[in-house]
Parts: sequence; structure tokens; C-alpha cells
Amino acid sequence: MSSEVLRGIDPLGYLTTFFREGVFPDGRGLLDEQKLVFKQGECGGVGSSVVSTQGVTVSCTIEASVSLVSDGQLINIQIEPSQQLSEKEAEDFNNLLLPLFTNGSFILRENLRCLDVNGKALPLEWQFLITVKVLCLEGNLLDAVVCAIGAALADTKLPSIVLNHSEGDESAIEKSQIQADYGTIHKLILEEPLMCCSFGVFVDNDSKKKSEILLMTPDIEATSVCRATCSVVIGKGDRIALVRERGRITSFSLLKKMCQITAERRHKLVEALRTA
Amino acid sequence: MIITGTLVAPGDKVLDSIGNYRMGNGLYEANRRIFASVAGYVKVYGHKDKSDNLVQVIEVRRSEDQLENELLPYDGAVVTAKVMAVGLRYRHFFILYLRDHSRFAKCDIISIGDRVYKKRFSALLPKKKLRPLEPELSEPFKNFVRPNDYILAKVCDDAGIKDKFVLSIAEDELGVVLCRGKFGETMKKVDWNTVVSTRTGKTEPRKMARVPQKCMLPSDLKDSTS
Amino acid sequence: MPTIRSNLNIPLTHLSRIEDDQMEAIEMDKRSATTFRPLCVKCGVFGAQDGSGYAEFGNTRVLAQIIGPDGDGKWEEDHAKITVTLKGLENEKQIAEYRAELMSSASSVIFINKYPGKVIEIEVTVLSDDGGVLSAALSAVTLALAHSGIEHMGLTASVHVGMRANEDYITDPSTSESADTLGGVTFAFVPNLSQTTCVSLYGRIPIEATKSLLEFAKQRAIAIVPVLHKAIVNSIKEKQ
Repeated sequence: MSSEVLRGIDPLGYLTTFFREGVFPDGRGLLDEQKLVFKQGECGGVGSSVVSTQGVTVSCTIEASVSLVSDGQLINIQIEPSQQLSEKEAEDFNNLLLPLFTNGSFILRENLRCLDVNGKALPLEWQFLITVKVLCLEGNLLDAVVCAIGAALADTKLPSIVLNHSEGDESAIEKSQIQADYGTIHKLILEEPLMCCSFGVFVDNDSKKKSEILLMTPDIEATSVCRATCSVVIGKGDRIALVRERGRITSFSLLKKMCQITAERRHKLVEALRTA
Repeated sequence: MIITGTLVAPGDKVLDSIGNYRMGNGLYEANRRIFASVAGYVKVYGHKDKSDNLVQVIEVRRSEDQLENELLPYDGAVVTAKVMAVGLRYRHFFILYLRDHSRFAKCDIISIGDRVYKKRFSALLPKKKLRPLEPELSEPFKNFVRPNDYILAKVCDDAGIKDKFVLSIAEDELGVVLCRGKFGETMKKVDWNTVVSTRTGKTEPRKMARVPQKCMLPSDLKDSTS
Repeated sequence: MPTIRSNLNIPLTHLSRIEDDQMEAIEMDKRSATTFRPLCVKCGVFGAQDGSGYAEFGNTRVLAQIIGPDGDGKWEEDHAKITVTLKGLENEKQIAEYRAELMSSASSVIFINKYPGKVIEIEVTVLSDDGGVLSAALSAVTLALAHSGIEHMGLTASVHVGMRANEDYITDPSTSESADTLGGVTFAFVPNLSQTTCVSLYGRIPIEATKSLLEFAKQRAIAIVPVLHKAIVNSIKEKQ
């Protein structure tokens, strides 16, 4: 009875006893992976997906519009704030994910050109508005969102564009000259899938060495007692696409381990997609 | 005839009329008929009422485990709570010392068993429920519990107070389980009515909960072995 | 290097489509007046949240989540406070209108006197909108309520019916099917008490036709009841 009482009063003490044994309170090993479930094409737009992992469920919808070739920003990400996610945090995540597009980790800019019926690139580009709705948030948002965006992009089907404007014509392209042909559908050429894993660094104050324990995808309760949390996004060729840390991480070997685990997980995902 | 164990959804008719049954949880009466108000299994069981008669009680519950059934702290449940503040103080400026006229301590219910509630519930701990024998009004609250103490308390039913829960620590197994001193240091138990500060050595009165010896907090264990 | 800026931005839905032969050939399958679109309902979608329900009618998908009853320091009345938030629709006016209907329907069935001083939050998210959002939302909320264990009077069966100029009814029309209707109604009622909780008429329905339209809607709503019931009963079985 007393250990249960501890959970509400002294979560740090309660969780320390479990972490020392190498497990979470629900029996999961500290570095065990969580199941990830995703479903594509259920939520409208040109591409969509719903991803559910470890208490976090997000839906991602991509709306497309056509624009002239320019240097402007092509992708706009909007994570909708909800009861569990404040507006400021949502804005924070938006700004975090945008560089993944501008540095070409998800998709290269030239692959966002509009294609005609024969697959030739036109002087028009696709602009995407990616809307992410958080349906349930009991863990780390980033893991699910990166996967959801990747799945939605993979699901995206775009029509070919018919442009009634000759190549030599220097005048501006008018809206009436652009038509969408749904007879030939193109899919996007994407970069290799990204994998994001979130970790927590827990410091056991009572042990003699003050050891740092690495937790994989900690839930809200565990995150509240961690000294630092870190999310790592790994892309093609085991390249680090993004690292986001909160708190203080002092050990380099822990960072290395986090990247290794994420890269391994990414390999498993790529294998699974290949054989599927 | 309703058979025990039938699965019902809210709105399903359970009985045509209450008959000889007593109504338990999860049911309501409308137009003389008894309907289910939650989704779950119908349960009929015998229960001895106040006049010691055996009555058949019918109710709808989601699971066998009472903790899972109840969404909120229920009457008779033992909960963990934190004392937030002690009632109203009334200062007499003409008298040299402060009189403690507070009759309630405000508490926040944190958890029940191992289920930690997502949002804390406000609760009141009346002065008359601090001890099996009601303490005198003049005995101050601080002899029993002080703000920032964690207590094990039982939820009572008080018809007068509707929107907050009413707690009691009258029984022996209820009372303070963890308290901190002025400097944030843990206080160690001296006996069931006193604690001592591990830093200053000063003793303070508290009503401690008589939990079985083997259920001690790690900090207590550590201190006792050191 | 000078940056090139462009102001041309045309959403895909605004581009004119090239009608090809395939599109012409697909005749909208004339649905009978009484069949619903393919539907899917689930009670209890998330394990963690207090109560959740999902309703899908054709391409309209709505998710409802209930958080509570929770304590709230500021609310000290002797009954519960119910709040409804609706997300996923673009039209502000529609959001306000649907929110009001959902709030009224939920407050009338929940036993608020059993939860004094507590707050019950209902969060409705529209995942995709293809007509009949209000009725799908009402169904999702009723499933979420059943899952959450909050005491209430019973299932709310709701349906969206459209009426054409020739007095033909169409059950659960999608947005394209509603294009040629005069108007319609979203009708919700609690079958065991035979009490209506929502009658939301829109469009230009002649007064003489109203009564038979509501009768028809009620019959259609009764047809939905076994589906909701089964989903709720299955969710309890799964818990065991």
C-alpha cells in the first residue's frame, strides 16, 4: 500500500526504485521500443495519415496549392493547439520542424515542381500547408509528428498540371491558363524516411556514482523527474537531421548512444517498408 | 427478468419497476422504470441495511474493481491528500496572542491507491474529524496537521458541503505520512503524536498515521539504517 | 543573389479540372432515401483519455474526447460545469452554431447534479468534413460519454436528413449530395425516454412538410440505435 501512496507524494522516490532495476513502472524495459501504428489516407487533403504511438495520437493533413517558381517558403506547418498542447508550445514545434524541410531532409525542393501529364517539370511549384491535429498527448509529440508527416507525404497524390502558356512567352502566367488533370496522378519523390526518438536523462541522486540513466520515450510521469530530455531525428545515411534538448546533458556518450539507438530503429523501419 | 452479468449501455431498461430491489449505483428511475445510466454489467447482490435486514441491491458497474468504477473519490475511500492551508484566522488586534478559530483545513486530494488523479480535487478537513474524540475548539490545528503535510485520509459524506469533498483522519491508520520542516528537511517520527526535525532537533506535534512497519518511505528507511 | 518572390498562390481546389471521360462516366449511385452512408463507430479509441468516441459516416469523420469530471478550484456550484470545444471546421459561424447544439444536447442528458463543483470538458475534433458533421459529432459525443462512465440518461441517436424540392428525402447526404436539396434537419433524440435533444432545421423547408420530415428523421435515428449500442457493449467486453 505504501508504494502506491508514494506515487502521488514523492514521484521521484517512487520512480527511482524502478529505474534502478532497469524498468518502467508498467514493466517496460528502459530502452525497449514502443509500438507504432499508422494509417494513411483517411483525413482528406492530397495526403493524410493518422499515427499512434505510446499514448500520442496525431493526424496530419496536407493541403496543396500551386504557385510560381520562387525562392519563397514552400511548406507551412501548423500544429493545432489543443487542451493538452498550448499555443506557445505548438508554435515552438512548428519552428522546430520547418528546418527539416528547408534543409531537404523530408523532400528536396526540386521535387516539389508541378509535373505535366508526361512527367516533365513546369515552371510552377506545389506549396503545402501541413496541418497536424493532436488527438491525444500522453508522451512525446515529436516522435509521432515526424512519422505522421513522413507518412502523409508518402500518401500524397498530386494531379498533373496542364499549362496553356507557351515556353517562350515572357508574360506572367494567369490562373486561367492552369488546369489540373486528375487523369494522371503523380506521387512525390521523397528522401529516405526519417526516424525520431525521444529520450529522457534521469539522474539517480542517491546512488554513490550519481549515475545517469537513459530512458527511451519516457511518459509524462517519467519526464517530470528527468533532468533533461532529448529528441533525435536521424535521416538518410545515418545523418543527424535534428537534435532538440531541454535541460542539461553533460555526457557525450549518452548523446552518442541516443543517436545509435535512433539510427538502429530507423534501419528497422526502412527494412519494414521495403518488405511491406 | 434481468440476469446478473448482462451487459447494458446507458439508457437500457434494466427493470420495469423497482419492486423489492434497492437501487445501487449506475441506475436511475424515470417514468417508474429503471434505466442504466452508465455502460457496464448488471450486478445483484445481498446487502445488510441499517435495520440489519438483508436486501437485494441492483446496480450497474463497469468492473469488479471498485477503484476502476469510480471516477471520483467515493465515500469511504482512503485517499492521499496534501494540506494546503488551515482555515480562516481571526486576529484580535486588542489581544496579545493570535487566536486560532479555524474550523477547517483546506486540502488537495492527490491520489487514491496507486491511481494519481490528473487534476487535484479540493477537499476540506474539519476540526471535528481530527481525532476519534472530537478535540476542543481551542486546540489549534497545528497540533495535528500543518500546511504542506501529506496525509492519508478517508472521504466522508457531509450533506452540508456539496462542492468539495470532506475528509477525516479520525482513525488510527489515518493521519500524516510525510511532513517537512521549516527548512524543507524531512521530519522523523518520534512517536504517534510527535515528529522531530532532522536538522534542528526541535519536536513538533502531529497526528501520524499508523501504517504497518514494513511500509515505510525510503527516506525513513535510509535514516533508520544510517 | 536577388530573391524571387511570387504572389501567385492558387489552392488546388480552386483550379479548374479537366473533365476526362472517366469522370463523366461515374454516375453518382442513386442511394435509396433510407440508407446511410457506409458508417463506422467506435467507443473508446484511446486507452489513456477518460472517454473517447469516434464516428465515421462516409467521408465525414469526427472524434470526441471527454476529460473529467475534474476538480476546479473556481467552480463552486452544486452541479457540474460542462464545456464544449469544437475544432477542425473552417467556418466560424458553423463552429459557434454546432458548439451550441452540442452543449445543449450534452447538458440535457448528463446528470450534472451528481458531480457538484466539477468540470466536464468535451473536446470534439472534426477530422474530415463531407456533410452531416453535427449529427456525426452528436454520435461521437454519446459514445465518448458511454466510455467515460459519467452518469447520463441514455444514448443519443442522431441523424442528418436532407429534403429535395420534390419532397424526396435523402438520409445522411454528403456535401455533394446536399447540393440539390432545399434544406434539411439534424435530429437527435434519446430513445429510452423518447425525448428529443436536438432539432436543427436549415434551408427552406415548407411548414406543411416539417412534420413528416421530422417523423422520417426519427425513424432513421431509431435505425442507428443498434449500431451505437453494439459499439458500446463491445467496448466493455474488450476491457475485460
